[in-house]
Amino acid sequence: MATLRDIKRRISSVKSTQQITNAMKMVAAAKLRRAQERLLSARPYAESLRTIISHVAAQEDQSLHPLLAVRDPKRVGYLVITSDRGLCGSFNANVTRRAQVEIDSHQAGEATLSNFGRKGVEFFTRRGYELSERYVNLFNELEFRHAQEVAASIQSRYLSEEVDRVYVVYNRFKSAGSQEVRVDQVLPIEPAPPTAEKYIPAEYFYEPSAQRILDEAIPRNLRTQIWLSLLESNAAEHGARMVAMDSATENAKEMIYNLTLTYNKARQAAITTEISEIVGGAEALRG
Amino acid sequence: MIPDKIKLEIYTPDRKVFSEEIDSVRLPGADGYFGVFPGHTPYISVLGIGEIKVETAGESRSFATTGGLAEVLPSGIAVLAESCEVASDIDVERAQSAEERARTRLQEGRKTWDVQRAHVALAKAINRMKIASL
Repeated sequence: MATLRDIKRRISSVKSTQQITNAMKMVAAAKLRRAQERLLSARPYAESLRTIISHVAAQEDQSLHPLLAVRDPKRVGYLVITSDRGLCGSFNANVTRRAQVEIDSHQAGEATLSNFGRKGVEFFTRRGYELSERYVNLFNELEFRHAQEVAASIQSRYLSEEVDRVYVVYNRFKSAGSQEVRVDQVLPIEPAPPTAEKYIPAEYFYEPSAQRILDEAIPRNLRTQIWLSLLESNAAEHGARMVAMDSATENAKEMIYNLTLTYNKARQAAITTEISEIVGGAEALRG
Repeated sequence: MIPDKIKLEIYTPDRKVFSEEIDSVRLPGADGYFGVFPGHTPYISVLGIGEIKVETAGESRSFATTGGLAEVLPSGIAVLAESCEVASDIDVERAQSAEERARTRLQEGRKTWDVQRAHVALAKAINRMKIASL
């Protein structure tokens, strides 16, 4: 049986772990708030851009832009977004497992894989997957130019017909407590049909031309979509970490409760033994 | 009937910069400035580096932009700018150092790609300073 000192040592060790998980929870909560703000303020731009593209695409020939051209999807590219750091529950496992299923559904050599986030890079490297691009340790200082970089590489591989279709696999932020794994097609870009609310079927005037508008809007849309996925994943990560650290703190609390109970019982037992020894000894002396 | 106000919304990739009912706006189209008043015909334009000038109730406000897209619909104007700053928010010192950097690069003038980028950077810096000094 564990001695009193052993139990006491365990209690203090669990306590200090609890302090750490609690602090991490607070940090995650603060970061979540910032990530959420960033995500919310980036959404309107992305939405308006999509609206413009859907309006132009509804009126003009889709062959106007190479990134709209649908090819037979022989070779498929995946961009997987994970976090750089762990301790966020099943956040990374969810997304990497899903990506693995997607990739394994293709025949060898038909799917290419790139990864944003250290955890995913580690996961795929360990399992012998080949990564064509790896972006590591960028979430701490996440900026739009990172999305630009990723988008540029995806775009050039699409245009050189190295891949015929590109998906992004990432965690979408639903609320602080829940994420949803998404597999979104980013290339070729599929313009949504325009919604009736804003759309005017009359002829637009283009300045300088529909072609130039699409040339501007479409690469921008790709960058924005990547950017938004990164922000979604970032917010989702902090949410997941907050929840994971909250339950870790709760578990520590329960463990401390149980250990304290055991400690008190053991202490009580020790005292009882001691008393009965004394009583026994006194009894023996008197006899 | 033509309304006397039109809604203008300006977005950049990381935030919404502006959202108000306005009297008119002048935008830096790729082929020259154009004005938009309420009742404008549906119109989409590529924007270049320049000034966005908003008029509301006799008051005008200026923004520096480095280009983007604008969509004009009867329901409102949406400007999607790569970057967009109110005149008072422009970091003049940063623009100045950007200008110097661009000029030295142009003097060195090595590869064509660099020269092109330096020209764009120079134009952005000059535009920012011009609008800040308005």
